[in-house]
Amino acid sequence: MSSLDLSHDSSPLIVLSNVSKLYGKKQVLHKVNLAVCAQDRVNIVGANGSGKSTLLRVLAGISTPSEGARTIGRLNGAVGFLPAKGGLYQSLTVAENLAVYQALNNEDCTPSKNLTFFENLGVMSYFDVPVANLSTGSQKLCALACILSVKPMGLVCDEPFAGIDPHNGERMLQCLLDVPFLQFLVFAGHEVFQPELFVQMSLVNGGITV
Amino acid sequence: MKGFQQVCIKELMEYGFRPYNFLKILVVAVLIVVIIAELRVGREQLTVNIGAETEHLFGVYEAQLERLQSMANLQLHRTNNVGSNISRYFTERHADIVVLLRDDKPQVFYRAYLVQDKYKLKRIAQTLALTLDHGPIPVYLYKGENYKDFDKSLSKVVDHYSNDTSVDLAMILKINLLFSVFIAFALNAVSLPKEREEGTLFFLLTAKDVTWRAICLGKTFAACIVAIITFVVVWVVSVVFYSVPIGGNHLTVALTVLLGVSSSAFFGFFISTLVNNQLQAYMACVLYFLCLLLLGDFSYPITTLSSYSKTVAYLLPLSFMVKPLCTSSFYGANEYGYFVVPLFAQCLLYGYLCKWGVTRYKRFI
Repeated sequence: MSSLDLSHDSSPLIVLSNVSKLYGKKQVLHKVNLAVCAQDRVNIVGANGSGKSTLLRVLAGISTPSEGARTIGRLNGAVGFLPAKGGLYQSLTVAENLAVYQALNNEDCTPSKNLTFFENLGVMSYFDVPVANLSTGSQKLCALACILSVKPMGLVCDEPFAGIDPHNGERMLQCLLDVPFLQFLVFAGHEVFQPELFVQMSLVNGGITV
Repeated sequence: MKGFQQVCIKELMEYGFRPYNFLKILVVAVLIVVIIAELRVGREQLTVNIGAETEHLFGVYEAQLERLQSMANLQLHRTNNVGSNISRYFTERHADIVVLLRDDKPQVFYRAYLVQDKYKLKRIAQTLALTLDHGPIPVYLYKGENYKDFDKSLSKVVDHYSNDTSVDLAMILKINLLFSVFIAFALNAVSLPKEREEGTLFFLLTAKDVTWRAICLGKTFAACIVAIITFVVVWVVSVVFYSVPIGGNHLTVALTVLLGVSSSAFFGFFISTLVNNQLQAYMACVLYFLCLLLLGDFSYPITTLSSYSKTVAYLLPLSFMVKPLCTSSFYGANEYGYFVVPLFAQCLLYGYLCKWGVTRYKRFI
């Protein structure tokens, strides 16, 4: 069993207690304990198939643990999830995707309030373009802009910089760090990333270590 | 239910119903309703001359003919005692439809010079044949002077020349039902694997107030809307161009279509929780289509199927939709109204299966 408490000063927002996840007979996560608090920035590093994506899904509340529990602490809003690929409806334009995102989250659809992230991420010009016509990187940036426009309390990103060029990667990171309402950030990837900004954690054999 | 409406609108947008197109759809829907209303109110009375070989035939089927007359808004003229030479009925007595006895079984003939007349008269002839209630009665088209042998021998006409290969009106209704039921299934069966492959399922599941129940009902409702629009459009076309009758109890028809399409959509969602990718979903769609085609009272009556096939047939919504709709349209009858009960039971069954499927699916995300 491995455990980690990232709390700095307050009670945690999300707590995973002894979380295990099995796909059929294959155990992907093994009794993981994790507490995420306000202002936490975490980067989970692991090899292919180590369970990073599964852990992120459990953390975001998408996936139900086979054993253990995910407890919501002080979190009083939704957790955004940026998948490794896709995240937008291919048959719709970016604007329509944004409308769908906002409708599903009961958010205000006033354009002036919601287009800030598209400008910050440099994808404003793609606003009326069908998603299927965009490159992989542009799709990811647009997906992130859509997710941020519904103001999630925290953000969980699976391989956020895969398919994104270094310039846009920097812009994306800066944008995420500047978002005022994001209380925590959890990334997952294959490499150590910005150790001065993020707590690095490794996932090996379904268990988590700092 | 929170989230249900949003999921439904999202699905419709994905199908191509953009928000700015809703007004257009509304206008089209209103036009369809107006056209149907006009068809029902303004249909002119047809004068049809029915000939019969003997007065006896009219006597025996008096009640059925009266019923037909009132149902189809017809003015019936009767001609008899011309014998078994059907050509004389058509040429000398100006009959439109002739009922003859052959081996003590009635056979129905009709003639038409124009295409529109042909379909109208064919409908009446088919309805008459069904109304005579004498088992399967063949309906033949009299093609006029092109067939020189026509008036020589009834046997020759029946056996060699006059089999009508034009559109079967009951088949139009059946095909319409088949496609509506299939569309509802297919849209939902592909839905979850598509969401998962596009990565949008994760967004749905992290959205505020969106539960699995809202996703299931929203997707099902959207698929039903598309299927019902398809059904109504094809139905209007079949009424306008092929004179398919609008008869029977409309509540039964509406309930049958609604419940059948809903249970098919629920079944589609259940299948989408079982399959791993879109390819498997497409294969499931093909299999379902084949089942509908072969076992769903479409190609063969259910009573002729083996016991195993019957079991599968009773699980298909189409099996309980064909009879109520066809008999309701052609007879104006409502004796299969109780078929709504098994359709409702299917809805509940597939709805429960969806719940089970979602519980299972959640373990694999």
